[in-house]
Amino acid sequence: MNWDNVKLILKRELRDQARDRRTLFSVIGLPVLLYPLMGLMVLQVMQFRQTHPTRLKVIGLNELPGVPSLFVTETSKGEDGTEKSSYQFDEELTQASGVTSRFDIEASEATVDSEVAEKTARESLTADNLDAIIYFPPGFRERMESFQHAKDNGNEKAGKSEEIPSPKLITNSSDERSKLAESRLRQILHAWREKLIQHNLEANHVPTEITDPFSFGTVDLSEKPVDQASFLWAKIFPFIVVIWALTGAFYPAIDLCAGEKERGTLETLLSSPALRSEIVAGKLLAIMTFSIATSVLNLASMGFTATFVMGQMGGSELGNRLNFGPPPIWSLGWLFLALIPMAALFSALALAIATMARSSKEGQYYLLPLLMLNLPLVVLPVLPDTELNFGTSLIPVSGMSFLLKSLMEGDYLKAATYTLPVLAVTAFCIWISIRWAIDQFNNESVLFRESERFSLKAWLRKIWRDRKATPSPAAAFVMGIILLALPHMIGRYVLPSLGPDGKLGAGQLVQYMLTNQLGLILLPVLIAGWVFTRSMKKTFLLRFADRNVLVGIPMAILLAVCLHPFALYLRAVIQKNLPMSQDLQDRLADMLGGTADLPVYGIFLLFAVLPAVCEEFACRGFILSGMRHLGHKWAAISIAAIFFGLLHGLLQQSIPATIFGLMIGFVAVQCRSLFPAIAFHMVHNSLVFAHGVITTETIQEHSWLKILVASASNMPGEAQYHVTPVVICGLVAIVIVGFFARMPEELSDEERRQTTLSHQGSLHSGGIGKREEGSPSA
Amino acid sequence: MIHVRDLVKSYDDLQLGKFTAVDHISFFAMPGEIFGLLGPNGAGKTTALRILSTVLEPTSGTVKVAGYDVTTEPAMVRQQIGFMSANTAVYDRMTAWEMVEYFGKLYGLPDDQLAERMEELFHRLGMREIRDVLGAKMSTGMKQKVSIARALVHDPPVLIFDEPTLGLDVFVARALVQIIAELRDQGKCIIFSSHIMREVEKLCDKVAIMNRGKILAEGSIDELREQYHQPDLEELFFYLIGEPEGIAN
Repeated sequence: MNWDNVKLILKRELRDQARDRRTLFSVIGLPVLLYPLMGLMVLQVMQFRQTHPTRLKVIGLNELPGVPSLFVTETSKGEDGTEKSSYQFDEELTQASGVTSRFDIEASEATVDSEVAEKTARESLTADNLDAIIYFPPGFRERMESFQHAKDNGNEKAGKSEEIPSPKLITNSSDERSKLAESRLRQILHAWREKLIQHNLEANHVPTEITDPFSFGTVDLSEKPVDQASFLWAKIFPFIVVIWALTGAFYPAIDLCAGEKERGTLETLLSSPALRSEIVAGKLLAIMTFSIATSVLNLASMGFTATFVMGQMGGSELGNRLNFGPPPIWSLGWLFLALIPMAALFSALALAIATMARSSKEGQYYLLPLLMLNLPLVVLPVLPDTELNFGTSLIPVSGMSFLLKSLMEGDYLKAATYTLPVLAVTAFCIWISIRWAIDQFNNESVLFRESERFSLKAWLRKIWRDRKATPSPAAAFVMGIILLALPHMIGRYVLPSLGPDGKLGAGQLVQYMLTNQLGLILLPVLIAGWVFTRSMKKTFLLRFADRNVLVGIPMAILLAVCLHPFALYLRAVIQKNLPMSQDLQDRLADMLGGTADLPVYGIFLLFAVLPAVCEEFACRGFILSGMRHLGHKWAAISIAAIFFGLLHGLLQQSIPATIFGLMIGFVAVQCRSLFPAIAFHMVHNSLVFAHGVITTETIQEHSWLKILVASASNMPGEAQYHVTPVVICGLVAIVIVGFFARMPEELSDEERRQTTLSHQGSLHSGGIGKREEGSPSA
Repeated sequence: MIHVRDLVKSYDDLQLGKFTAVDHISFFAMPGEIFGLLGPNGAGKTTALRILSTVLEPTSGTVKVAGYDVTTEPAMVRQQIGFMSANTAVYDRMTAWEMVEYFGKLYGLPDDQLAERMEELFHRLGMREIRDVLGAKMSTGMKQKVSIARALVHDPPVLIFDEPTLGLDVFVARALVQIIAELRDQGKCIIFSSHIMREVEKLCDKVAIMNRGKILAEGSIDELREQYHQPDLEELFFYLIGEPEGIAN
């Protein structure tokens, strides 16, 4: 790649965007104006909210005990000379409860029955004349006052709480104002009740400490207010970063791809000596710059506005609840660091998607699905009870948000532990996205596609007519998704359900495995192979009578044996970092419990041969063959391995399956046959099961095992290899991988084309393309 | 300089199935020669020229430009050509000078050489007045001039012009035709596609008449007139292609 060309394209695109008023407005104008405007609106709304008094009616004011007072009454003369009483809550109570809002209280002193009070309440609340009603029933005052002398009078009645007529707070929970009134009144009434109890105790000469002998002290180690502020920002910022990094990338991407197509300048650039990879790199860096700029400006503006608005709301209830100080400066540093890979990922994705669009208008349609697909990944870190661990660190986008959250919260140890997997997954996603974008730029049917009248019939006819020997990447991808979805969609109807004891018997286990492997994996891929391809032999790599295959099968078996110690090590590492929950372990044990009743050959057929055949036909057959049309051998192997991993369902199984899937895919591609892959898979599964039955007792029965096994226990599956065989296995595995790597490759047409283009690229960057080496016409 | 052998380009069409835009065409053009591709709209001229400029890939056949294969050495081919067509527009938000400079740098010209070359081109093409005008503010003629300057900035040995006078007024079209003739005199190998008989007659040393993806006849205009016993190029064209109704169909 010629980086001078990349820099040139980047500079041009940046200048081009900087001259576009719409882009400047969306990147700079919008965040600078939007948040302050939103802040002002919030302040206005909050002012309205604060000044709005709660409309309350008190029924049965006469039934209130005199001490302690709940209301303060003020009497004034009206215009007509009559006396008017107005009521407010006792100031001590409002202070104690922390309620600052005003109340518009209307009181009726008369004692009324409960039914009458409820009828009045229903009418008033339904008509929206009131927000709440407090009702004091007949006899309440008398009963309360009797408590004050309960001890002296020996009043037995006072002790029977079930007979005490209780006051009622009547509200309408379907009305927002009424709900708010309820929460405020509950706080005031609670404070009044506490005061009343205290007063009764004092009146009866009972020390108040009896009812409140101690309280639980809480110690908050956070350095207020900095830690609390960063905690709040840590929750909000990762979410906002992702949203803005994505939207900030998308609009420039549309303008730089679909916009250029529309304006006819893309072909001008494509006919220049810049390679497609250089064009993609230049455009990608420009989009990234705008993505980062949009995010930073939005975050800065949002942070500033939020701090300002919360400062203005300092005395309010909401302001008191939220400690929303300015974000600590170091947390912004982490934010910026995390923003770079996020922006790179979304820019590459946006670029690839925008390349597909024929026009800017069509490009806009793609933004929403992209946002929606990312939404679960963005929301996950915000949910309570989710945190950064080995499993979440492997989820694209979410992993980075979790990491950022941990860093902003100051949990550096946890962040450091999972930085590597998060960065590895993010880097892999960025690489895939960039490769996709470059492929889109190399695909003339994408760059120059024109509008067509869609017809389902014509489309189906085209699929049938244009079938190739092996499936298309799209067909392979769809098949992968179908295989993942089938167990969930129809599994419950076709797979045997657990018995009443929650376990699967041996017969049911056999039925389960056969249905799952043959019905939900092998059958769909065989049907798809027959319908969507012209050659079952090429699709499923059914090549046997070949030197590579005949040598490859024993070598694959040997490789599987040599890698077994490492498979165990990998499993132990995963188990340590991502332990299975006890519930999950119990369910697995219940499902596999039936194996105890099966003969050894039955276990071998069911758990080694059957999955090896079915899963290999699906993953290294249909999916890998289809993905090889992408033009990148390792991308095809990786995608097939990821589907293979996902097919295993449990994360603890998916991770090793993906890693070993890479090796099996490599073997299949190098041997150009599925049979060595099946052999590897079969031996691997057999060894996993064999290891699962080894105990100290087994070793005593078969003394030759002592050569391999260093330690074991009475529990099956805990045997460990000696160091020497592990070292030997490692060395032999390296030799075998080298042997496979030296096998003559059979590239697909697309892979050959990509190799040629890469070769051309290296020639270009190494020679004529270099600026300092003179004029092309010289 | 340009060797096209048995070139085929076909597309997948949802309704029609396989659609062959260029159907087994062969021709060659030498330095100091203008090779004309004459044909009605949809004849396959633009597709053929897009393949020559490496924007599209051939379905089959070989195309060599200045000794480089368009499929295996596209970047080398692009170094040797200047391509201009109705689909290679100018950037709206760049001035004429910036646009030509940008492509000059992409072609790897050193700064001093590029500045000298641009001054010469802007003078020769009469573009000094529009030097600092943004593409969005330019007339069609101005844009065409900028496109020519962009295609010539690296002084390539091969030039591909796809209907360069399309939409131009007679003055600008005439000036453009003169420039192309001058370039031929400088020893450039030029491929010129058009459906305007006058231009082809005036400029081209050799002509290929295309229709529905095929070359119907190829040779110098005199040779073709003689071969098909037609008085001029226009008559020859209609003789080979058929009646206009037939074309529309």
